[in-house]
Amino acid sequence: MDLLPFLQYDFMQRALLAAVLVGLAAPSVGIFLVQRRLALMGDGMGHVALTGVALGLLTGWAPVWVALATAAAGAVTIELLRDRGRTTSDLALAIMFYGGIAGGVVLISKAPGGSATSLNQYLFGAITTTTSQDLAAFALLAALILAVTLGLGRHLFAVANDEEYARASGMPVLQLNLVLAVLTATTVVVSMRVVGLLLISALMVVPVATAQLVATSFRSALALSLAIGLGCAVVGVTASYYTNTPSGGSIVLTAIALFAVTAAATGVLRRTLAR
Amino acid sequence: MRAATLGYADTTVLTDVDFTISAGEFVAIVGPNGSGKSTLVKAIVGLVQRTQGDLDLFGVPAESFHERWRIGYVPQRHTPGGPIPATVREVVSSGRLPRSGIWKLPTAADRRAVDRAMERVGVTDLATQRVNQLSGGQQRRVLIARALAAETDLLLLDEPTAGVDVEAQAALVDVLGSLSRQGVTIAVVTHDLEPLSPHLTRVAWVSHGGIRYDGDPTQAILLAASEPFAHHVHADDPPHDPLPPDVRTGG
Repeated sequence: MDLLPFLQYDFMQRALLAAVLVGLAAPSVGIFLVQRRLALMGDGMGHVALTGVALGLLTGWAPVWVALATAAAGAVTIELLRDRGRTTSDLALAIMFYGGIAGGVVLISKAPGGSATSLNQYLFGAITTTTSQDLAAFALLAALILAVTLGLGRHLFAVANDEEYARASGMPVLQLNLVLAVLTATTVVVSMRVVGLLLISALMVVPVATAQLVATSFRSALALSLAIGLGCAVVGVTASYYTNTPSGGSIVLTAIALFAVTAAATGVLRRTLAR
Repeated sequence: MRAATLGYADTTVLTDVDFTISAGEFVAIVGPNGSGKSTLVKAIVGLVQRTQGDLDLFGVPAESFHERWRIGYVPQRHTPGGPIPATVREVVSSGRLPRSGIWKLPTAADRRAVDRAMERVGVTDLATQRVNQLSGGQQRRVLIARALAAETDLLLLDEPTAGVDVEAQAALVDVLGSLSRQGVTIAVVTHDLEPLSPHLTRVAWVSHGGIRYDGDPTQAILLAASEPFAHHVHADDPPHDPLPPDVRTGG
């Protein structure tokens, strides 16, 4: 018996593969953002990426790559502003939020064929429209994200865990923060077709939030976050096929449901053990 | 440090500072709240700006010194990290990274150094425990182990005994005394001179924007111990030689 009959459709195969890539890549970056208490960084980047997408549609260049360049430039700018103490993280993020979304809306209205439909595709995701070319680009970027986060994981952890100590001991803190910022921008671009720019941060943060409820170490939290991200992406895409609902929202709701169940279960367990 | 001016952005905290820590010393840096004790230590590790003067680290100008791992810094607060739990071993291992380099996988020597650091401060049994579930004193010891993991030559501690109970304070002082006997050079910012007194080789008194006393700790400790607490009201009095009355606040 075929367990996943929808896989007979090419577009669903691509959708599922894209979801797998995002499910793994997003929490691998998100865990370091959460540890640095910058959980909303992905949201800020998502808004900036919208300006990039609009720029791509306006100029006729590939929106994915223009969005990547724009989001990466935004990420580097915000990190440099933080490093020089010119502005606080929340103010810098707020400026990115508003500037990014405003730029995107204005530019997309001027793009040939720019419409509410094309805007919605990027804002809320359109996983079933993923082409083989998109998938190849996403696979390359996701592999890069995983290689860097796992390769530099110990250093990213050291900085996220105690930036003051890392600076004092001579670690290249600014460079590592810039790497994380660019990885965040890359994850946003990889994820925008799957969950949409408005929901990207959820897939970076919610699996991590669930994992930290049960993890006993940072390493186990990372492994659990990846497993939860992957599981929620696959379940969400499958559910969206059967319920005819948008993939992005379905994936995020699956992740939030798992978080709620885990939080309730761990709460009950803690109270029971405390008696 | 010679003729140094130290501060933050537009605020100068200490001026004309001359301060040296020699190998094998155990120096206490004392002074009233807000006097600049922490600023002095942070300037040594580059966390505070030096607008004038010179700083040499192990005989090399700070700007061209590339072995910052030789200085182990223990910050003032207790719990490191964000919301995701980290184990004692993970936190202590992060202290090895400045020495082992960015592109290298941990070697057997790195793992041994981390084990040794945990052993030296007595947290080996806690290795797999989450740091955020430990007591304040235990967390302090974990941070000291992290600072030692790079096999540091100089340990700089910012108020390590602040906010921990008397028992934990005594355990921390024992750890520092033991490290000092093993040859680690230590400089510690503290409000509480007395518990450290058996181990100290020098006291530096920071007040009124500079170092007002720097020398043998014996007299400082005796005075601090013998003076009644009422003298604390004079904490901001101008210092006098050979020992400013402010030092008495250390008791």
